[in-house]
Amino acid sequence: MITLGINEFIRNIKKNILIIIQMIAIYMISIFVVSAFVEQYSLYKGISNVLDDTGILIQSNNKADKEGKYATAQMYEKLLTKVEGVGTTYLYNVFSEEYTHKNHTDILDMQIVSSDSKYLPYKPKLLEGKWCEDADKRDGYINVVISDNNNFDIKIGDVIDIDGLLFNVVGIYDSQELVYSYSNKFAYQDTNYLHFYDSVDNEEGIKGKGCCMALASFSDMEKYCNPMKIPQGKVIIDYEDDITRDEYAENIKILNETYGYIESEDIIDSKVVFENSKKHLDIKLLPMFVLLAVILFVLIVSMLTASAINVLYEKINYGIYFICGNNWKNTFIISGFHWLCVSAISFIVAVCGCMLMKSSEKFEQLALSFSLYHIWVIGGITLIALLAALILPYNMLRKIQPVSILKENDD
Amino acid sequence: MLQQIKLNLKRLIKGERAIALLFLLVQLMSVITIFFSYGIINHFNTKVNEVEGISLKYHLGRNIDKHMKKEEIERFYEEIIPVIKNKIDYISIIGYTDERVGMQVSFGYENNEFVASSYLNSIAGNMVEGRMFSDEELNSEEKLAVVGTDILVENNMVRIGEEEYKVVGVTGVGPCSDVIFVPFNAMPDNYNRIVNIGIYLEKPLLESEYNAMSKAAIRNMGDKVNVPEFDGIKNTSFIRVYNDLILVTVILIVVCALNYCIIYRYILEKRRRSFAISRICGCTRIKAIIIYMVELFLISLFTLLAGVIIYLKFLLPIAAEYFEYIEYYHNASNNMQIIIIYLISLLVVYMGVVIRFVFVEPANLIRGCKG
Repeated sequence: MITLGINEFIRNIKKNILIIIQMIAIYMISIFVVSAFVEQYSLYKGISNVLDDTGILIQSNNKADKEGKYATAQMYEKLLTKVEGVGTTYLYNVFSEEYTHKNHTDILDMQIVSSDSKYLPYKPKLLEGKWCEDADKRDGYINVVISDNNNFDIKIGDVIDIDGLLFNVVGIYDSQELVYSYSNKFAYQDTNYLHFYDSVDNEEGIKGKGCCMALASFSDMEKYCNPMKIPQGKVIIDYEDDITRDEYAENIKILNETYGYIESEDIIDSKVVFENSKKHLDIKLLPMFVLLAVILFVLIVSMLTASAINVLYEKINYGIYFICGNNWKNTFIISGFHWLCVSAISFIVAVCGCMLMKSSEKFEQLALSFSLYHIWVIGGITLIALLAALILPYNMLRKIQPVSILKENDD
Repeated sequence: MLQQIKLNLKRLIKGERAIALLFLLVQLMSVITIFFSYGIINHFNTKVNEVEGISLKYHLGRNIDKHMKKEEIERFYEEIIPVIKNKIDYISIIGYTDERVGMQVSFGYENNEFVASSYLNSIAGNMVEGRMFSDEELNSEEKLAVVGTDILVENNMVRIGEEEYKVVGVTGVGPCSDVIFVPFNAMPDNYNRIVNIGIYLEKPLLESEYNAMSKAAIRNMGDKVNVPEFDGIKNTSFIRVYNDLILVTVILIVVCALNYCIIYRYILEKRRRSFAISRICGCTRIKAIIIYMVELFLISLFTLLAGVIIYLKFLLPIAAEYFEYIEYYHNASNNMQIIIIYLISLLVVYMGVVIRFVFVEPANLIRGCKG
């Protein structure tokens, strides 16, 4: 039966060409829709893991204690009770008034941002290169990913040497990419997940000044640049689940007395941010779900149509198979294998097409990824197609005698 | 020729009822999908070309020692509501009385009328006594008030400036306990103690919408008002998502076009023998092309008309709730353009299918029929 199904597919490949093109389009639609969802959700996903727990958010780590020190994650952990973890970011400023790179001398103002990876969940898409952790490590060098708006024509593989610190450029990202931790936005009780991100292009202090923003791994920066570390940006303080109301209030009091942070202005409960984020995400995703429903409807109707037409084309052959001793049940299985071949070819072409698009610079303005979600959705689409291929022949042929099929054809 | 067209249509409807029905359904679905896709592409294109804000609230506060007047706010909201009507949840105006008691106005806006805002509805669920304003009262100038439990009420009346207001309800404890709520039109005409205008949104504003709001505020209230900054970020992440959705809708149109071809190719396959006979009996290729094209266009024009009516009358208002810019692009001239482009596309697709069929020799057509 498998051979018959495959034979049928090969014999009718010309007739099936439109159906194959349609299935390729259907698979490509699925890949793009899922990619769009993954991209939209990824900004929220990492942060939500931290925010849906008991904790607080400090809007900006911009207040020093009486000695003029800004707090690091370790300092918060020491100062407050029942802290499970602290997520904050650090800025390291590397500056040279006369830096020469490829015969061009100019000011180099490189601001490197780094964070504990648990709290840096979103990695912006790179224009080229690799992430610091994924690239080859050279001893004595710090892998950095830089924005594309620098004064110098810095390329992947270039080394920036300032005061004996060696930065190996392993990746370049668009200055309009959203990056966690650049944000200094204050939204108080209305803070949502998008307030955690900003782009180099959007930062008035950086835009157009050739200031080069870089991202580096936290461990590398701790190893080579620890004295330059300045805590900055938003701070997420994750409490243990069993923290009492009194302990929570006491922590707020300590933060107020030590740094002058005020509740509701500087300090916001994580759950408030989480609820705001969910509401905002719903606003973003709801239209996408509506569009997805419309797409699914059109795709299912299209697959059913294609499947029904295929049965009508193959009716005569099925009649002959029946007369030769095949029962209807086996015929449906042949139809199933036929569709499996159509799906497989279409799937391979669609995935190859998407991969080509992903590797091409022309399509870098598209969200295109491959994940487990894609496998689920593509699997679901294939299943619907196969079910249609099994059920439709059953419904269309079960009450028809093979003889009448053959007679009908002879008329 | 006319008779042949009639005969073909009759055969299609009576002889191949299921296929005819499928053909009509697919055509109808395609017309609706094409119209919907056009709106969706333009909706997301607007978002690609503009920066979208993050905030869902804009508090237009007063500058120190300055107050805004009722008439200024009236002009302001009349100017901005047409721009942001699809996104607005409600507007809240906060002021105070001569006795320094808080006064608040809150309203939603639908079909050029004030309606109860979601905020007023939440307060209505917390009434200690009486009731909240009805929609009619929200639009009238009748001096009515809903007060918090801490407000001093004498003879069922409260005073704002020179005017007395009849209390229709008392709301429960909480942040509203020391506030007097009144409908916008009932505010005294010369009222000038407004300190804050809150604009609450269901969807974030685009930069152009924010600019329109900001300009309207400054034009009407001058230096009295302090407009918060726009917080949107132009970023490639959102652009990638919107570009994906635009591409998907374009591919969807291709899928619909393929549906046409798949079904009509089958219909032509079924007509191989009868067509071969009519060719042998003297029907020229040109004549055959005309017959099939007229037949197809008759069906397509019928489904086009039905699809346009279904989409514009029933589906577009629903879609507009989720895609706020979709309605803007479906004006008469754009719809006409879509129809023309659709018909031209049909002509190309149909020509492709029909010509391929018509140019097969009659003998081959009959042979093909026998498999």
